[in-house]
Amino acid sequence: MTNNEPVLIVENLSVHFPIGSGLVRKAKGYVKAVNSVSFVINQGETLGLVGESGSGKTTIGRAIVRVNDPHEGSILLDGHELVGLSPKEMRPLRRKVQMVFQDPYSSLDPRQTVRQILVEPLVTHNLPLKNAQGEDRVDELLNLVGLDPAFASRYPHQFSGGQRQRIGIARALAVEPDLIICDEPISALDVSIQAQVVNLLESLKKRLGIAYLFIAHDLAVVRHISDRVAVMYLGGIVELTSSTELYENPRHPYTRALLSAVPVPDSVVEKARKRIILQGDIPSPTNMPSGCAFHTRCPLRTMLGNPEICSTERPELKIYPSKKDDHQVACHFADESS
Amino acid sequence: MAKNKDVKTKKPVKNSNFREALHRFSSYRLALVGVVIIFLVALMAIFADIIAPQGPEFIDLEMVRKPPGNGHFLGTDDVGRDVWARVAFGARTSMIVGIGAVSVALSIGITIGLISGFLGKWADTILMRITDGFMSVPGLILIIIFIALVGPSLTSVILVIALATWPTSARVVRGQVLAIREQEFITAARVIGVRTPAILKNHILPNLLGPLSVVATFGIAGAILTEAGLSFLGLGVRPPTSSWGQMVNLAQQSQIMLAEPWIYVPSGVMIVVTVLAVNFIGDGLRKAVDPKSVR
Repeated sequence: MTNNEPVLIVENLSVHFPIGSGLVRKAKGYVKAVNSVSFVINQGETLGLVGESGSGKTTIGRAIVRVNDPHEGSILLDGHELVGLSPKEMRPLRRKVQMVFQDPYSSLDPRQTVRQILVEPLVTHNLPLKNAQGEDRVDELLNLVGLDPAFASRYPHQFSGGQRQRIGIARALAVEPDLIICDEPISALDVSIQAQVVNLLESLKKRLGIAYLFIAHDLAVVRHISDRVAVMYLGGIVELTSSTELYENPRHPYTRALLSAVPVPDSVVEKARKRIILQGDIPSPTNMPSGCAFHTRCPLRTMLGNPEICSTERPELKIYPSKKDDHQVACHFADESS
Repeated sequence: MAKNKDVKTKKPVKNSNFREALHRFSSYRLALVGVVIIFLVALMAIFADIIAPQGPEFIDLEMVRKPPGNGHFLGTDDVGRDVWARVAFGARTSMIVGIGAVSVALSIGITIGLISGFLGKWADTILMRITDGFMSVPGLILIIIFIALVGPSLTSVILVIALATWPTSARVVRGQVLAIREQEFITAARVIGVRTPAILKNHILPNLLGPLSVVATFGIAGAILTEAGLSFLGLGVRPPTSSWGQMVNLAQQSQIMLAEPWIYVPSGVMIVVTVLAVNFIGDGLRKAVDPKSVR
């Protein structure tokens, strides 16, 4: 499926939000939501992005579609630099990247019919309302996401959460993008509906060759849908590798803790499962810990007798050789952990 | 909430949001009474020429201060004009002032509110301080000074009422825009690449209609009342154009006040009934637009 042409190259992306700045006041400080994050998404590939609340995963997604302005770094979409573009220069590039939102209730305008919702991206980009076969594009899109085209004249509130999310996906597909940012597209849905939406996203990927940046906190779903997975902690990627490698052989102590929290649907295994319980809370992104962002809670550091390097030097993402795939870890002691 | 009760059926349901709102509106009986009354007053204003063919300015010198009867259904006033005709044409004045003033006030208010709420930052700060400035001046003083400068007439009454009331609608619009623009469908429109004017027109404005209709209705009631008050003080519509407030003004003469109530009572009753009816409609609209409001 995947070939090696990258759709998206993100390099050293940082997004900082000023605190308390006003008309005359200067910012008191910055929330460092994302700190020099780099990754690549290839054509037709799904990159999963996991991490707990406040780790900056949504901010990355929003920075790529330029809803949030990056502080520094570079975002290359199909070879076009997005950072620093004016809204006008950005507009044609929006055909290449679209977004599916978390909340299917607030992401659709309650005053628009499904048809108006789906026609809006077509009109904005001067795309034809009929496809090459003369079929109505709205009908085509609704069929594509498994909805009856007869629903086109309805309003969003007449649909269930899962159906609304399908409408949101159809809207993202309207401009035929190369990349779709899925910002927790299933977190607000019932478990039974989650599977349907995930399967829809997968079949669309196969049929249309779209790449996804799949942001989520449900590790099981991310494993299922992703080719590769990046784990985020406090605005930085701590581990990035193929999904099988990550789940079978996690190297970063944070990833291990995260994976140990996933319940297993087998009572015997579940009972025997050893959980790593992290101490304390995630630190505030306004006041980042020195050195490794995770060192304040790291069980590995405690085990190794609190080596000094953890609190003084920020570990870079480094490639560690592995049986199957490249395995990037940001930890000074990634070798010790296995 | 019947969210997807009949999603299976092929036939599309018309905007049932609207239906639910209509249901909430009509469950408030006084609002329906208000609609009937306003409908009748509007008919009176539109067909004033037909229901009172002699006109409000025709003076019958033989018939000065005559009580009801003798071909004058509500009697005649102090210069021999038919009271019924003046009430009917007064309805026209009131309607024109009510709708005119609110249209002007809303146009200003929507523009300022949209810019302020959507652009935010310094535009918001500046525009809202100007709005605050207008709100801090007592309305009546503003109106009297303006009338003193440009002179009383129908147009100046409309303009001055708009000038005194637009800050309210600007505030309401701004507040709503602030809430709407944080919704994800606005982000979605941005991600699609929709231009700001189109976002305002296609997403923000339609979602403003509900709250605006409430503001507009109460605005109409206020404008009618203010016009009546101004005309009563002699600062409103100039005679011979008829206005309800002006007719009540005649009660300042003690002879009319005590002995000839037919001259001012009908127009006084019309003011009360019309303003009440419009307020009832406003209450009903508020219930319809915001089901959570308890009042």
